[in-house]
Amino acid sequence: MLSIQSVCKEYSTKKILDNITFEVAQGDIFGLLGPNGAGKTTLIRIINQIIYPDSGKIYFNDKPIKQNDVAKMGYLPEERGLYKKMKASDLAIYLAKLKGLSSKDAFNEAKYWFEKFEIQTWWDLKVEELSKGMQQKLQFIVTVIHKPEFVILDEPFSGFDPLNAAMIKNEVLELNRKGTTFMLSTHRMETVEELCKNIVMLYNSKPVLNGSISDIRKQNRTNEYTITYTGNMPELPYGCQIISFKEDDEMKSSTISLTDNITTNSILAYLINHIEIHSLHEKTPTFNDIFIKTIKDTIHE
Amino acid sequence: MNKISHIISREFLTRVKSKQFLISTFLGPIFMSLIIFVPVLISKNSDNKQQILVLDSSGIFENKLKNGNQIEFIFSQDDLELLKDSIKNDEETGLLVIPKDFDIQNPKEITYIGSNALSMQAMNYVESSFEKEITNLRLKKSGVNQSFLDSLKTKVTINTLKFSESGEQSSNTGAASAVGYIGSILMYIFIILFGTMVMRGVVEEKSNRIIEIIISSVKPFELMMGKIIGIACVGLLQFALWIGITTVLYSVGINFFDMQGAATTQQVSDVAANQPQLTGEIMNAISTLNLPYLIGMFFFYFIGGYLLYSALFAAIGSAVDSESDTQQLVFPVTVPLLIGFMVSQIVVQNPNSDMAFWFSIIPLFSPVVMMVRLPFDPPIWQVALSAGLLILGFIGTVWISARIYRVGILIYGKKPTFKEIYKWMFYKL
Repeated sequence: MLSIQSVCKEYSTKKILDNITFEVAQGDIFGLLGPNGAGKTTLIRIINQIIYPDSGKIYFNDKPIKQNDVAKMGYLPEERGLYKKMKASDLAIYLAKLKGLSSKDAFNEAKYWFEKFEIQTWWDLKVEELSKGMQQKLQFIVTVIHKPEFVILDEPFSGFDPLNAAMIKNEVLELNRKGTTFMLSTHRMETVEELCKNIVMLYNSKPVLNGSISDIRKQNRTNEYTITYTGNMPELPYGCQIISFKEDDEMKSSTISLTDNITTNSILAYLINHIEIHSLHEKTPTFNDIFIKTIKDTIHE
Repeated sequence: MNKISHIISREFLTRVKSKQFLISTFLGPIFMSLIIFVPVLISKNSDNKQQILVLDSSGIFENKLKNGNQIEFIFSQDDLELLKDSIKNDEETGLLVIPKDFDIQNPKEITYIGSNALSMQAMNYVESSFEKEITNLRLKKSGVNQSFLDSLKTKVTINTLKFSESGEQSSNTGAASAVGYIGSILMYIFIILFGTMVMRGVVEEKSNRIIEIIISSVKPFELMMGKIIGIACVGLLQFALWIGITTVLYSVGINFFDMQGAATTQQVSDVAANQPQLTGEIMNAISTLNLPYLIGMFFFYFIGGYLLYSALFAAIGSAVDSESDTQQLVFPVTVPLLIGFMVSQIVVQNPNSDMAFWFSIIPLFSPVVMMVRLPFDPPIWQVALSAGLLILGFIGTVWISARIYRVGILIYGKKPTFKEIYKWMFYKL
């Protein structure tokens, strides 16, 4: 769908993007992660052809990207707004026409979406008469009204109330099922874990993490396990450590960290003679942890 | 190209449908009619004449001084102190005292007493009345008879003729000045009015943050030109409506004054005779001008000047985050307009001077200054040169502005300095 190859961009000798390469597969929901100032917005603007890279290539559907391709893309910017004085329907139709839809198609699509979101009563209202939540729905509509193949959402859920956010989330998943590819730029790691299949993470103008969510999780395993048990935990053999310990009325729970060559089976075989084990499960890192750890590691390098 | 037409039509329709457009379309002509008619009304209302009591102890001027437009002489033989008392609390009336031993060979010692000093104009009139009468008396004394004196009276009006290709044409300097002057004021107002409309539109898009959505669909240049052209259409439509409505109001106004003139005929036939003559004179004077040519040129210079300045206004709009930040940046753009406006006030007195020539050639000033010169029919090559340079001028400012605009709309934060804005022109996007 989209292929970014060795893209560089600098402004007055400050590098914003430094040799960025990654691919977004057709049908993916792709996460573009990174802290503020990592270069996400610049990259998104380059994909939208608002600005151009100093070097490097971008391919859209296997061909070098060209100006007409913006008609096949939808973009929900982080800082977003609408014309306040326009009628909601006029605005939706206008923006659809700017993306190349005919007047008739634009009108029909606007109708379809207003019905789908059950907001037909806003058709003749001015944007400034809509509540903030209503404007957010409209904002989403104008992003996808022209049936784009590829949609970029920059912090799509910031500022949305939970109800609207859930609705938009469902809409994203539904469009994705129908074949729309998404690129999601966000700080919210829950969203990433919930929606994304693949991600790239930028830090200091460079990609520091790239791949599928599950692969990245595996790579970032800490080899830590939480055991719930009764009895008294002995000293651990083979250099393994107890990291934390909790106790309530019935049960004790400890988190232990295993050394590299020790399997869970061998540690269980040892512990089983000392304590009554109720459960053991791997303590998987959240994406939040991975995010922070990756940045810390990069700083230390 | 299709996209730009969508932008033009949106910019046009949202403004034309707005209440402000409706209001200004109807208030504009009323305002303009006021500008035309208020001076007429004022001059009409000032026919409550100033009265001057004349105590002529010498008896030389008794009933010989003629009443003027603003002055009425009333001869009296009452006692001086009595007359003084009678006008003491009367601001409108003055007293002229001519001594008993007044000598026409040595005319001195005529005194004016009043609560207010006479205006310059009134004093001139009074003095020249006396001078005329004394001249007459002296001529009579030297043996010239009355009928010969009457035959000396003449009134001269100078007809101005101008050389042109089709022979000598009559022209009217007063009408040309007035039309030129009004043209330059309107040009100045309209360029600022519609130029700042463009600027506000750009600032609105930027502060609304819709700009990023739009430029992910169209190029910044298309958006800027679409906005400029759309608002130009608003301006042209508004002109057309203004000209139409003003014409209607004007003819209604003329009829109104003519009717008033007719009504007073029965009472003061003298004044009534002047009424149709006045409006007739205005029409005559204006008809000596080539109005279609002037209106056509006004449109041309408006479009040229508007394109030139609105592009600059758009660049300023793109550089700031909110309208309140525009104040300082707008200044250097309005200064040339203001200079043009001030120069045009000087040029109206001498429309063929070197200054008039140069300022009507330089694109930043020419739209305003040329308006003053056009009614005086400047050489065609000068108009062509000025028009050509104006076209080059707006192409230049549009190009420069577009380069600033494409960068400015993406940058938020601190208000940029002129140095930074200058650097934007050379940014590689």
